[in-house]
Amino acid sequence: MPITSPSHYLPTQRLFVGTMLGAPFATLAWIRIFANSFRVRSKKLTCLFHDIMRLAVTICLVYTMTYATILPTSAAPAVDFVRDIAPIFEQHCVSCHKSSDPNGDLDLTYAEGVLNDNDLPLVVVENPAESLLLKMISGDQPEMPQDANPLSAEQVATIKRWIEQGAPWPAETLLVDKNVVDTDWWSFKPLNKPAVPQLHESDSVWVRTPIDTFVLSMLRERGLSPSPEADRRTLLRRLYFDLVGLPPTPEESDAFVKDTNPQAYEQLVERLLASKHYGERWARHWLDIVHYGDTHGFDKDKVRNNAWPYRDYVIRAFNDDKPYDRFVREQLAGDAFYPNETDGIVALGFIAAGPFDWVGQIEVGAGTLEKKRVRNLDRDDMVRNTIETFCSATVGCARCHDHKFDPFTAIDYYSLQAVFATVDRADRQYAVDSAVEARRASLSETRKDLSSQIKANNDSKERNDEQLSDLQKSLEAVDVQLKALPKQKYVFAATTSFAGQGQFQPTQGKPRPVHLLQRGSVSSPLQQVEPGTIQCLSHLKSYFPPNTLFATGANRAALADWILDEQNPLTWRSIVNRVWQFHFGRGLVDTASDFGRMGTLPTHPQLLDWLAVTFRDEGRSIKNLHRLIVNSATYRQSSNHNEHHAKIDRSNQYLWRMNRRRLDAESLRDAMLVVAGEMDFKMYGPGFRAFGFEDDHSPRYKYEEYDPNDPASHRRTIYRFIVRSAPDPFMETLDCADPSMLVARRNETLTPLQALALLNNHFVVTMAEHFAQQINKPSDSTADQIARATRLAFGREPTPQETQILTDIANKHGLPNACRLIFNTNEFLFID
Amino acid sequence: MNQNLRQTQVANLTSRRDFLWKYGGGLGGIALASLLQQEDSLATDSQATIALHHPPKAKRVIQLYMSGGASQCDTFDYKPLLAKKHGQPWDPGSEVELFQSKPGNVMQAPWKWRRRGQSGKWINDCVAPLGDCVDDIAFIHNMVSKSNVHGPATFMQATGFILPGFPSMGAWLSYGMGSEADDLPTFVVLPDPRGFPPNGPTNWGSGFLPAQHQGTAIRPSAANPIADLFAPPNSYVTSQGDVDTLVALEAINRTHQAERAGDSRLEARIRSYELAARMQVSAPRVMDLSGEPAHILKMYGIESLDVNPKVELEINEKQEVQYFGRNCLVARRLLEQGVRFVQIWSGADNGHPRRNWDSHEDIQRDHGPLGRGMATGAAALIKDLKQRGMLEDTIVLWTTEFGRMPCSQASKGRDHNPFGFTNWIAGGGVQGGTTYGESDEWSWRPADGKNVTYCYDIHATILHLLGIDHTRLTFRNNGIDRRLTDVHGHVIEEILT
Repeated sequence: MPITSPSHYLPTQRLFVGTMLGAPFATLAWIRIFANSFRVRSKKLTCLFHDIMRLAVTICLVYTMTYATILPTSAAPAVDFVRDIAPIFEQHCVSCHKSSDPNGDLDLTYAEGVLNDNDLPLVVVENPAESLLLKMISGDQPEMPQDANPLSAEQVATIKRWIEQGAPWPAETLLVDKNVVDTDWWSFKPLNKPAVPQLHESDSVWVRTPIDTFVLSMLRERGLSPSPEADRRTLLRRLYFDLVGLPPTPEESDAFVKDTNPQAYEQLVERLLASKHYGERWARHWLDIVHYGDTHGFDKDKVRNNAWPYRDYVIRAFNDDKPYDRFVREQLAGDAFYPNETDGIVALGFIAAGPFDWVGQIEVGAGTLEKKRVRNLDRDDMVRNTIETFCSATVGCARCHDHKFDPFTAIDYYSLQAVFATVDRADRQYAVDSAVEARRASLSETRKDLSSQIKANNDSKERNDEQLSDLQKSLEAVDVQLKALPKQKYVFAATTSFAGQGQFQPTQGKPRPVHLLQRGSVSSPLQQVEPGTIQCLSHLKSYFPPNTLFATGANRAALADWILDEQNPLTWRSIVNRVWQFHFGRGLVDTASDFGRMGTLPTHPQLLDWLAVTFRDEGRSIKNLHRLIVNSATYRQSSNHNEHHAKIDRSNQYLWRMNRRRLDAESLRDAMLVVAGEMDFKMYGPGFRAFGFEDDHSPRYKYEEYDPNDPASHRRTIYRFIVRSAPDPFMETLDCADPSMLVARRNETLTPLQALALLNNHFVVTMAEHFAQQINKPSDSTADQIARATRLAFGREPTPQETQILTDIANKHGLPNACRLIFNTNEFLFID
Repeated sequence: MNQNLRQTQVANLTSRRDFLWKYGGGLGGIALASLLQQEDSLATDSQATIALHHPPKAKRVIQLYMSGGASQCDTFDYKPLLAKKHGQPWDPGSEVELFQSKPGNVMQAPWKWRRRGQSGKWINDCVAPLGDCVDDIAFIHNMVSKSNVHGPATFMQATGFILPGFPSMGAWLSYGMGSEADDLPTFVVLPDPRGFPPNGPTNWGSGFLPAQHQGTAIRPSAANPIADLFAPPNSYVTSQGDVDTLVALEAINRTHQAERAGDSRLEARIRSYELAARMQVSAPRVMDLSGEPAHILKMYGIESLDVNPKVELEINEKQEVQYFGRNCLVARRLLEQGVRFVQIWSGADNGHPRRNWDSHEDIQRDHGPLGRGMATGAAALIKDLKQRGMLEDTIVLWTTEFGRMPCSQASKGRDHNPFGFTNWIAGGGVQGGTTYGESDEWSWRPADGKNVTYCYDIHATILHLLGIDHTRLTFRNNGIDRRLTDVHGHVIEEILT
């Protein structure tokens, strides 16, 4: 069976013959495959692709418009392959049986593959019933199509008739996986700014930002109406947890409730957005998406000592409201765009954020299949991290075969792998201060000079001791100066040059060859593939011509440019949807990292596009996007239930109320530390370790040895040292993100084991004790202490029932038990 | 249908599905499918509607996992050629890719082989106690793995993928079948007392499935067998205090809930504390072996019921027998109480000194005691389940990430062999006394290169025995309907009754 591209057996002129003969759709498909094969060999020729494609599309349209009206409407007795058979095969068969991925060694895309298969009696014209093709698709439980509904009786009958009639299949007609060429899907459509909908005058009173206009018009269409605005305490608590991930203090709470300024809410939003804690909250969301961790994962899960500078970079980027395009460029190709800036290097921690197969990379020998497998999966992680994060496209599915549902080919996928063909994950030096680095470079140069002079003098026959002593002194002086400079810093990042170890050696910028792999298997490589990206956004260049502007990372820079192209509709929709999701608990598109056919549709497509264009065209500022959202009337609604509305829209996808949120693991732990008065707000630096550690060749992380009274661990949870192989059991039971997965949205569970953790975990028990010490003024009555406790924990006075119940527990079992109870209430865990 | 209306309905459905799998307690994925058809039913009764794909042969599973790569040619896969060519250079006729070394000489097993049982299966003395059970066991000798490295290979056996981030088999079963007991976790893991295997607890993680499906680690021989089951000792928390605290907590939560109608999560959370309290009663009861008769303890090789004796890192026979036996007995008790899936690990990480089956240095030194300990507990477990009538609907699966080479490494050890190794299955629906999938004359690779068994096939077979079609137990994550068996897997009909 030939597995190679069809261009091997079809002469070029057939392209035109096929078009003439009236099979333009198949031709269109063929052109694509043809272009793909060019892509593999020649970058220059590929640029013809878009022109040819456009021409072909035009021909198709003309064909459709002309022949659709001429063809007879009644079914003709003769079966026409192109009209009757090709659509069945294309829809039901070729996604598995095609040239790039011939399952069962069967390629159903061209005539010879089916009619002249010498191994299998696929089509037996003399005795149609003997045709394997027919046998596979008929019967009570047909074997094919696998994992899908059987073909209809009518379709089977048509295929039978086709065989009976001699199975005519024009040689120039090539079939194509429809999914791979079909870009008719909302997320691939061009991005245009929709007009803001018109509302009744009475309704426009409710509107605070343009978002509300879109939301309200959708509500009205469905007979829904918005909920009233939440009360001040609720709004305050909501904004605090949402924007900075912390509870407000009782004093802030009282001040806000009493504030009579009509702009009090907006001012609060500004204060919180300006807070340094804002970055700590929103960086955590980003780190979920890009699967940040502080160890490598897998067997011998080694510590990654220099991952944290990237985590700190993300916090700073959010606090500085770094324009999103700059944020993307730095993370993907900072070394190309900004090689002399700290952020240009540190941000590359993004590419290296995921797991690293230490044993596979460092111990497995070069040249083995195992090594190829390890590198293939290492690049796979980089590709998926990049395209899922920035474009919400699940291109990773195309590692083993063309994507089954979305227009991403295996060649697209491997051309993306080729973008990362020069980099590895390793410690990379970065400059904190360019003046310091210049000084270091010049001192090092001087040192080298002096050393060689000393050597020359020493080796020389006319050794001059006086001169030698002077030189030695100068050398020592240089060493003192070098030593006095701030230490060089490292970040675990993408790099082409690093200190090798064992079998793990840098490429020094020379790309490793990347091949199209049949069924994703490193033991079945096909053609070598050049750097590029997905082709279905045909108005964008998907191939990357050589670019000498950049000393390094030119292909990553080209990919960043492609991602950030104003006409790339995925990127801008993706980021605004993510931000929306973190505010409301659910995105306008529910599947934030999958805008393909297996994802969900946008609930508010117009609003999504309006936000995307506004964001793209007006500064690319995440903070401005927050302002639009949290200042809206939509966001300020109460989260209360309404039976009438719930009957129409139980899941609240149209936002007739605010969603009540369960606190995420980090916010809950942070809230406990704050309420207990134990929080240390020191920012940045290496993570705190909530475990005992031992490395006897294979590191062991012992959470049972953690002492919650260790003040070093009383920092915000984003500074937690994150172990991949052994997740922190407390954080895990609260659904923290798994650092081995790209987590677009966390699961939210309420389990008995979670209840046990919140009751009994050493950390909670300890923090409840500190909480009790906070409120335990001997002069106060127990009731006063309880009042102080609910003010700290809930931001309000206790109800008489609470006073009675909590006082009772405090009196009988001690104040710490009452505080522990408060930590376990639904009110502490849920934000209205 | 109007497009918007359709979208609304789809979203409502999505959200309901969302809700049910997040908060539906033990409700499984298959159960969910049938429940979702009844539009207005928001029932979350975990017992109610478990609808399987076909009638099951078994209800529960114990997986015995030999961490580090247990040798097939020293235990269950007899090859006379190894004895015949012992000490001679190994020339299998084609190139051999090894993990650490160059092929050494052919090496026979350090112990004797004997025919055992009615079936006459050759069993090595390394695992002699299991010889009593061969007529209940189906052996599979043509296993292959996609990786030769412990981390990815262990992930493959545990989750079906060589990458981290995927749900383990136990998590899939929990998701698919739900719980039979709401006072115990559905999926329990009994790690080696020396520590976790390569990849750590991610081997029994829930991946993208909700957290309630992840394995709960229990250490029967530790003072605090389940993390956070009780507050730390010497704290201010008392049992009477907790009784009052839980009553008070519910009262406060009920008031809070009354003001917030229409949010079933609040009710689910109140209920989670009831279940937690029941777990506090049930779990210690299961762990308490003092009521087991002496002959049962003896069968499992348990000499002492002390908890938390000092664990020695180095492999030694006494400890292997003790701990593995105790874990096997606790596993039986967990299954009796309705736990679906128990995973018992023999062997810890790849630290020094050697503490798992990764016998690069010395097969005799390490496989000897490990084999004796594992075989004692495993044989006792099979016999015990059988005498209780439980073997009929319980599956016992013995597995490891890869096997070991028929040649020696540094004269006494063996290097990894991902090209051929052994798994075995006993219990419900499995034809005992069978051998499936011969290996070649060296016990190096499958005899028939076209007929190899992957973990996908083992997983598909186990799901099949449990009444589940492996192609239909799915969960959508980032654009793919994920399965335990990925896009692979064939039920091994040849070993079924």
